[in-house]
Amino acid sequence: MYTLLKNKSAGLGTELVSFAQDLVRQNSVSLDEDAAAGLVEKRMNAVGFDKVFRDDAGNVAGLILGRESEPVILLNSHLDTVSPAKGKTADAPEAGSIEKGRLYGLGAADCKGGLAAQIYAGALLKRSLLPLRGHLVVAATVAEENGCSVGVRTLIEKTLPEMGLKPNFAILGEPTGLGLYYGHDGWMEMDILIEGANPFHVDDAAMAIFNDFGKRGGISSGENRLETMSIRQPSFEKAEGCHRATIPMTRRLLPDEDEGGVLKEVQHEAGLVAQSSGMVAVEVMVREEKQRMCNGRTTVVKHLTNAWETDPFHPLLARARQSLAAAGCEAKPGKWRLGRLGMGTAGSVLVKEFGIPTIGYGPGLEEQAHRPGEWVEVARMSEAVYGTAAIVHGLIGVPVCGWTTDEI
Amino acid sequence: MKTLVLKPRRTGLDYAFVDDGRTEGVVEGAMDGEWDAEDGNDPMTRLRLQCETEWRGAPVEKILRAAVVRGIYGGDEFSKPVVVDDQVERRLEAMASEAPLHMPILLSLLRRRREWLGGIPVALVFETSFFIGLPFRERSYALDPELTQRLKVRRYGFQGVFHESACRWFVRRRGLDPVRSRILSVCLEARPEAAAVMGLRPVMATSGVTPLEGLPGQTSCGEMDPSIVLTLAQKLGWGPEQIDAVLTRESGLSGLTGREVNLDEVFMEGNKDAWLARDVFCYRLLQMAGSAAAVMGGLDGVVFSGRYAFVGRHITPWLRQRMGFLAGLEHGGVLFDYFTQSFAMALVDTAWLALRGTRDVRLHAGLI
Repeated sequence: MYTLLKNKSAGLGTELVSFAQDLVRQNSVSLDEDAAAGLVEKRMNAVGFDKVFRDDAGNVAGLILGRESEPVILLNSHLDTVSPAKGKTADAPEAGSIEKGRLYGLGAADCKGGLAAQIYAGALLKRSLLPLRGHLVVAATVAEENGCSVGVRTLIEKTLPEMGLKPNFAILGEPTGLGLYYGHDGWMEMDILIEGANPFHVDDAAMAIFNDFGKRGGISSGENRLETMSIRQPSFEKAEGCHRATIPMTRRLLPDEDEGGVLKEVQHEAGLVAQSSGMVAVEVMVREEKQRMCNGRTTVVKHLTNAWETDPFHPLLARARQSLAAAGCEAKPGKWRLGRLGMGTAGSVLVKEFGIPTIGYGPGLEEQAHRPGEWVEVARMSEAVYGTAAIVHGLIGVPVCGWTTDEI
Repeated sequence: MKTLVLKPRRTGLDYAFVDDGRTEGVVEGAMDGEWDAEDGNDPMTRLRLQCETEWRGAPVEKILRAAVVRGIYGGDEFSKPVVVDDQVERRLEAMASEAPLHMPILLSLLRRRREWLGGIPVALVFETSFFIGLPFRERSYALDPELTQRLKVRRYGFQGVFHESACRWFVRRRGLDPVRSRILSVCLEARPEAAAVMGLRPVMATSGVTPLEGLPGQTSCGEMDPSIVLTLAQKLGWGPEQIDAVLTRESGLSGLTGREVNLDEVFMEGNKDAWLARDVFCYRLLQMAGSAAAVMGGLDGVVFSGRYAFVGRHITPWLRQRMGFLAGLEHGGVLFDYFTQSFAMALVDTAWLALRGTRDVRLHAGLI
């Protein structure tokens, strides 16, 4: 079976690369993914997905039907990218170009390379004619890079249930360097609000909090730099007869921390620091933003990504590791580091909000994400197609144990 | 008129044209291509294009009497060859998960049979049909019957076409009484299989739920203690796919020699490293022969068939010597023979024997 998958995967190589190039060339900054979604929709139809649809949020999902209604596996990658860096990419190769086996362009690693690989993993399984027990959904979702995963939330909450589909497992095409990743820390953007009638008290309290929190946070030293907290200078305003200072702060969330607990903790600590500055009130809240999606709909989102983790002994991870080993692929487990705050994956939503066991398996390298001159190795994209297909077959394929292809 | 014989493979098909005269005029070939190719590069379209050129545009119906397709697995559903129609297709679709590597390919071919083969009848012959009537005690495993029924676990044979044709040929050639004959049929293919055939009906088979059980094959392990599988899972942490790959692709004669070999090389080349593989294979075959003789209450003959039937000549002296205890019991010795007819001829024989009376075939042959 693996020889068959490998041979067919090699046959899809040219198509895969050409599609990934088109995808990278197509600008798809968060909330402006419509054109890229069109490309994905067209390609899914061309490679033989049984059903392809676009939902209200602008997500594109392709379905390959199995013989039974369960289990359902979701392959998910986001369509959007961060905004291009200004003035830093002058030397970078042109978007979509391939040089020395690397495909260059914004989103190449994070995660258009992964998305192309997942679509072609579906195509590979379809063309291999291997029967599947459960259904396979490949979804290209919108609005992930702004940190809020609105697209994937709509997909799980509304789109898939309307089709009678509830994913039992999910695999993200985010950059993992073909490792099997099972979680990452989160982050939360907060506003610390200090209010009082006396402007001097508000000013003193705000500066005291800023200085105190500024000392604690920052970046851990050494080669493995890990940003744990960032805080910006307070801004001051006068509103409705009182004076107010706002201190924006971003904080790393660890797997055992949640939004409510961290808000309480920060509020408590900021309150203690502000006590000596006079009569002020301190309140902490998660930052919210009104966003206009690519389909014109507006939505309010929280600037929060929960830390998440799938149990490393969960059958999803165990079966993925076994399938990759059987397919002759390296299967190194790990977690995303997310050295800088503000990054994340849809795993936060899938695991924390919907309880769907999730892992990551993608061709890009984490350190390439959001970098000027971003690239993904073409050979790794092809391997991701094969590896993803092997994992999916291990999870929802009809077992072929005892049979081989041609020799009887 | 000719009969077209088709043996679909994962990445192509083997074909043969068998003239009505039959003993001559078998043209065999292979056509490679992907079954899902959309640009006319699938093996059947390529074969058809080749035929159109050779037949100078003559319609298929003027050249071909019928097509006979080999199916590996028919489960309990197909006890004999059938003429393919939409209902047969639906029955096969329902069985796809029982033979997940083979059934989808077979269905790819059958679904487009009208496009490729016009209106000629297409007969489907299953390798398992010959074994469908194995005695209950032989086809059953000592497991909870509820479990075996739920999982459709029972013993089959997977070289039925060769076994059936070889035994019929052997009985005719040696003048045996078909009803009382007791034959050990040894099919020497990449996955070898032995069957005890009594009165031209199988009473014992070496294969199991899949062709993995039984004699060691070129790359498959054959019979072994199931606890080995559990040990691989527990001690090495291997999953089913990895265990399957080792047992089906890296074991058997290749596993024993440590390199990729086929039956021919193991027996003909005389390499030292093949000694162990030869010894293990012959010993297992001897055990099967003993079992077959015990099951049938004696043995009249051994017939070798399959792609490597000629290898049987190298096994015969060894086997004959060790089976000497059977000699003289009833017939004055065990007869050995080698059925070297091609698979295509054997398949046509089997199909024709079963279907010559059916309406579709008679209609096309102008008999109605």
